[in-house]
Amino acid sequence: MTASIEATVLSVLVEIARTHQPTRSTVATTDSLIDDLGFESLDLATAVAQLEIQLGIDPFATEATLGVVRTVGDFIAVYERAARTSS
Amino acid sequence: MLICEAELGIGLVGLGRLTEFVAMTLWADAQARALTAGTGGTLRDIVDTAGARLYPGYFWTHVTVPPERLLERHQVWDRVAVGVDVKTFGPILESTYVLGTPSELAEGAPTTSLPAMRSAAMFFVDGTPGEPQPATPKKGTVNALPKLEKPPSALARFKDVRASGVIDAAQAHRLRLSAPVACPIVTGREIAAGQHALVFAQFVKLFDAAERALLSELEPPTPAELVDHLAVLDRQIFYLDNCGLSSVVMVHARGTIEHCDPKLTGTSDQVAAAVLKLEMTAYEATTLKLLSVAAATKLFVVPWNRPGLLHAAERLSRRYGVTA
Repeated sequence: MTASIEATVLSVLVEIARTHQPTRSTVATTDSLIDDLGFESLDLATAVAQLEIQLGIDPFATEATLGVVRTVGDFIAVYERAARTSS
Repeated sequence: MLICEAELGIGLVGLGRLTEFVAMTLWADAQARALTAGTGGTLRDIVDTAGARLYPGYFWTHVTVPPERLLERHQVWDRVAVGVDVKTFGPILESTYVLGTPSELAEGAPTTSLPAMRSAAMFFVDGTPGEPQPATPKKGTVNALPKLEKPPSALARFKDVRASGVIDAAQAHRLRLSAPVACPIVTGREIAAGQHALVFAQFVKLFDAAERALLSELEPPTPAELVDHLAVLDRQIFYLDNCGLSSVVMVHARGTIEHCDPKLTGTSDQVAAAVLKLEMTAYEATTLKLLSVAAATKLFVVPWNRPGLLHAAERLSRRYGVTA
């Protein structure tokens, strides 16, 4: 489950990152969402919505805040924690 | 669709008629009710999981008004009904609104025949200076609303307009303000004391100031009273940034005047004299931050028993009007 969450989050984030950097094919867990991937408010919101559709959870409505998410790894950790809580 | 009624008291319209600004704030109020219906709270009770208060910030609005049902037909002490549907895409909101008489909404009049607005907004943390902080409402503080399966189409359009700075690059407007109009942001007038941002609908007033200046620069100048008879048919606004107290907003406008059918409003006591199409930009004077881009279509609607205004409108149309 954890591996599939990480893969899903990475897939969603890379898709959104491509809207800013069309040649980008991967993202790393250490990448900063803002500084490295060029994310802005709407991108973060889009990622949360896409992941709610794909994973069926929205951790930011129950336990986390978007303000603490700085890196791709932070994002993955929030979803992995929420999945453990909900299972 | 959630329907709310409101009386157009003097606090809303003074002694006058419904304006675009007031209609937009009524629609926003209706959205607030839809967001909190069933929660027992108000918009001020929507918080994130850390307890920070959130607010829905608009990034796009699109007002459309049929010429036969102009906003101005509603006047002080009239009751109006406002309908709203809100759908969510994560923390992003897509809403559609209508406005009419209570009987029109009760009878389920087709929304295409009534003044309407569509909007896209998202939640931000309230009261934070600087860059707006996106946030998701804590479960239970916001109504469980229907969800969208894909991002609102306005989102891609917003990014496109933000990147280009224009709504319709192909539109070649004949009229252009000689210099941007400077609009100082004054506490108690454009912005409430202690607030850090303009209410979204306030941009309509800033754009109207530039529109008035553009028309006054024409030769001969458009009489101020004729400008008072401009009614909005369509206005799309992209909200790219915001500004606060002591800012000066510079507003630029370009436009085209088009001939139109004098009977466009469908009433015998009014003459539709001309259509004004505008594209406007607002930026902050000191930082040069682009705040907003808008496009509007307005109609000069003159009472048939005001020959002086009718002559002025005819001069304007003959001198500057083009056939659409």
